[in-house]
Amino acid sequence: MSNMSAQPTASSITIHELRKSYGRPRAGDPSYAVDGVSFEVPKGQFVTLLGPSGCGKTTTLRCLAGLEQPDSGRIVMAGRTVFDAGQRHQVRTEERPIAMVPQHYGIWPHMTVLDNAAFPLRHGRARKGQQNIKQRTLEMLDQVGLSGFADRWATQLSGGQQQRLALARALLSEPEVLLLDEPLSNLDAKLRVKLRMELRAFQEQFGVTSVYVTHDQAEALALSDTVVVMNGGRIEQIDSPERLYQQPRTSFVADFIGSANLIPARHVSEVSNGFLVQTDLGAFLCASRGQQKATSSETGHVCIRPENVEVHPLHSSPANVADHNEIAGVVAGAEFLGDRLELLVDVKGTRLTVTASAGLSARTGDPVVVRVQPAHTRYLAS
Amino acid sequence: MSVKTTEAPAVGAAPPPPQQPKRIGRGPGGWAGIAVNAALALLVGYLVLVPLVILLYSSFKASATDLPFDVPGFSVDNYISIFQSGQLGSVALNTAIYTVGSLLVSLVLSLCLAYLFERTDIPGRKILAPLALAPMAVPVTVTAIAWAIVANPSNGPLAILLRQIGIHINVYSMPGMIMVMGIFGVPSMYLMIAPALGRLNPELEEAAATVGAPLIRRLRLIVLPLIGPAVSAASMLLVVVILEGFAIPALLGLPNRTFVFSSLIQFSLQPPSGFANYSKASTYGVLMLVLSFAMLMVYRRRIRDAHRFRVVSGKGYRQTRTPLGRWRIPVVIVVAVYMFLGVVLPVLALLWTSLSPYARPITWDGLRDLSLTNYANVLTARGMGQTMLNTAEVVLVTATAATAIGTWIAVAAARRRFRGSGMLFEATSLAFGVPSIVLGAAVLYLYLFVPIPIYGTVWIIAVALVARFLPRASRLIQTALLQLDEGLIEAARVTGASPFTVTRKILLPLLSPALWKTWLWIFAHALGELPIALLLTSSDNRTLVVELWNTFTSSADYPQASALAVIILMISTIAVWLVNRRGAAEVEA
Ligand SMILES: Nc1ncnc2c1ncn2[C@@H]1O[C@H](COP(=O)(O)OP(=O)(O)OP(=O)(O)O)[C@@H](O)[C@H]1O
Ligand SMILES: [Mg+2]
Repeated sequence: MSNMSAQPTASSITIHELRKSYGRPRAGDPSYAVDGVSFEVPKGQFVTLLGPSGCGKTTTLRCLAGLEQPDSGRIVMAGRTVFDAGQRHQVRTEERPIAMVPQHYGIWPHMTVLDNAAFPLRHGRARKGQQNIKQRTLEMLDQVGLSGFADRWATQLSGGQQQRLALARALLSEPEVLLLDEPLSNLDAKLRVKLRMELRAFQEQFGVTSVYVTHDQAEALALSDTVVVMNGGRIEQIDSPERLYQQPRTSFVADFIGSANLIPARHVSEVSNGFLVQTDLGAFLCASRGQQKATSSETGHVCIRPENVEVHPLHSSPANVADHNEIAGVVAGAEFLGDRLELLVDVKGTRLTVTASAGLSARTGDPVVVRVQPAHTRYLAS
Repeated sequence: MSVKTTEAPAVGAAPPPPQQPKRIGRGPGGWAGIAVNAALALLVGYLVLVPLVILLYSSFKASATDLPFDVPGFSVDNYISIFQSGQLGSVALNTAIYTVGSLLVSLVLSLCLAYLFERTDIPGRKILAPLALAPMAVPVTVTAIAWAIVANPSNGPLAILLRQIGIHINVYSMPGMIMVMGIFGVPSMYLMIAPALGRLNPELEEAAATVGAPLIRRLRLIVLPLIGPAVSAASMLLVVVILEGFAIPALLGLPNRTFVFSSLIQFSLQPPSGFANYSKASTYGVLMLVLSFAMLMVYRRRIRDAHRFRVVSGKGYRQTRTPLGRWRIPVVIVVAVYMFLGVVLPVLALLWTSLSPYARPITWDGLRDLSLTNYANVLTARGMGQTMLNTAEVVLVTATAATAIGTWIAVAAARRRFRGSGMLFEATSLAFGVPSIVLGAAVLYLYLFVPIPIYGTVWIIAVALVARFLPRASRLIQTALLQLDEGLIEAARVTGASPFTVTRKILLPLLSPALWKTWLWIFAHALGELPIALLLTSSDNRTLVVELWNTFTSSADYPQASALAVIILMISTIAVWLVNRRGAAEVEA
């Protein structure tokens, strides 16, 4: 992830050790909004910055756009260094090969839809030598489904239409890099799902390198080639959505992406086929592990995804399978979700969330056996 | 970059030409911007600072009648003689009484009105509340003349009305000046207090009501302390305005020689007989400047502190109004009477007199010989065409130049693009503390002694008025800029449009309602601004407001003066109406 031999042919964006503080760092203010962030975005890929509110996603994106000046670090974009704190140079926003869809779309109320979309062609960085501007703009509006609206005032569009207009405008500026800051957050749930599919389709169609900011994990998983999970200004993990879900490196990621049972570890020892972790609920054999090195033998969590757990009524439990982690508990609550059943199982005062098939007949108070394969039991050192 | 085949234009087909990265924080055009800033700094310095320095310089040249530049050496004789004369004491006392008195009148009236209209169920507030603000459209010179006509002891309608119930009033006196200035100050004060009262959470007052505190106590213990910051800020601003106000103390105080600082300065420079006393005027000017700056500093400090104890929240509360109960009708009658006497009657009397053959009380019989003769006389008088032309030139040039320069200063300060932008903005807002009579005197000195041939032309008035209105212009535009969505500007910047294009295509169009409003505001105020035009006037550059002053004071022709006042009032009202109409349209949009 921090391989710094910047190869402009492979990566469209390289960010190295980016730091940004809104306070004055020299006055001893240690709080960084973005604190040592490094990642790369390969050409044509769709990368998402994901994290809770206030973790520095927008700040990172604005540094990429040149709208904020970082305190330190380096940014290379399309083979060209656009920011380098060490050498004190910064390429201004208007000279970076970018386009942006801001959170509130930034649709100019004093212009028509057509004028909004055509702005990059008429006045943008590629304005010289543009021809057939109107026709090309109309074609683009047609592609995003706004062909009938070209002569309307931009304020007369609905939220979803404004978002598509902002996208059309961004695409018309023919960027190397498309930056999107929570462009779907103002929309209702249904439209959000529809538009995010459209968005991904456009991105693939135009093959433009994209950096997308969201705090919605479902959106991130659905859209991205790679997800960068951030927390408190730092990067927690960079991975594909599948790996992020199946192999979280930290308990923060495990908890933030999907749902997870995190059981605090009391003692950890390395064994031939993984880790043996003692917890308040008993010992777990973890065949899978997060970070490479355990910082100490007594910290961390055992992570179990609810859908990786088998639940059996105590009396009809199949014979113990060798090497499976198995604990006994009592059903503390059950929620029927149509296709499945979500159970809360109380084990020695700790509640585990598990997903069972809808057919299971379990009532509150029933004793059950909970079983997880070591391959699905993951030890996370931090 | 890999391009997929589409019928749309290829994305990113050509990489941008390699460019030299720029140094952090400065782009092309940066130097041009700094140059404009430097030029404007020179201009503002030239408009405001240089005249003030010359004023200060003159105050150290002891001579009663000679031009200060003809006097060799420096001395503090002027100051000594002023501090030794009895006049300083009496003028300072007058100024203090006048200022404090007017402030109290404004404060009490506007607090009562704002509370009644914002917080109680007083009937008819839809009509009465706008009426309270209507005097904003009346230039202060017109106000003073209207009151002189309505309340002069010999034939003013109000004076005659009150005489019948045994009250004798004379507007040409200190109490008269205080009442008129106090009433004139109400709209601007009301505008600052009413929003604070409107935002006040009613629950705070209701909580006191539930423990049984009567209305007066609730007001004193809960409401007043909570709106305290807004009230004190408004008060200090009004003090600056009262202090520099010229038309009211001059028109109402001069006949019985009641001087305050501003009227004394004009009187020393333009005595009805004898020679101008330059050193006295400049010394009083310096004293007044110091006083005004002190007030402004206190005000700015106060504003800064006000943020800290802001209890008042802006959330949309359920509007519950305090019921006035059986006082409802008596209170509304009192308010209506005040509105009639304070707002409607002066304008009515002005109109009446302007249509009458001579100054006389309003009577039914008088209706018969109303005519437009005065207007015809005024408009066909010799030199009137030139006066109209002068006025139009001064007002249009002032409004346009002040808006344009103010826009640059506010935009540059807000966007922090060029070095010195912030300082420039601060410098113009300091110019706000220069009383207009002092500014007028200072500009007069400058051009009397530095042979630049615009003395006696309309340009000298325009120059001084631009300096006067620049702080207001940049402040008004800054407020609009603060409300502008920064995202709209950034959206344009990321397309790669040049800063110039972003400003021209996005920023200025988005600001245009505010620019138009600022222009109209300055237009209306430049029209009625008396002291500068009066001090800088000569035979060739007379404006309407100077004509009005001359007609009223020298020839004492009330009907003709009224006709002139009505003409000014009409133009100003149209401008103010346009400002407010645009305001309303923005809210609807
Ligand atoms: N202009 C600013 N001035 C001061 N602090 C700021 C500013 N903008 C952001 N911050 C702070 O920097 C941190 C990161 O903010 P940022 O906007 O990048 O968060 P985010 O991840 O985009 O959050 P969200 O999902 O809520 O948009 C926050 O703690 C925020 O308070
Ligand atoms: Mg954000």
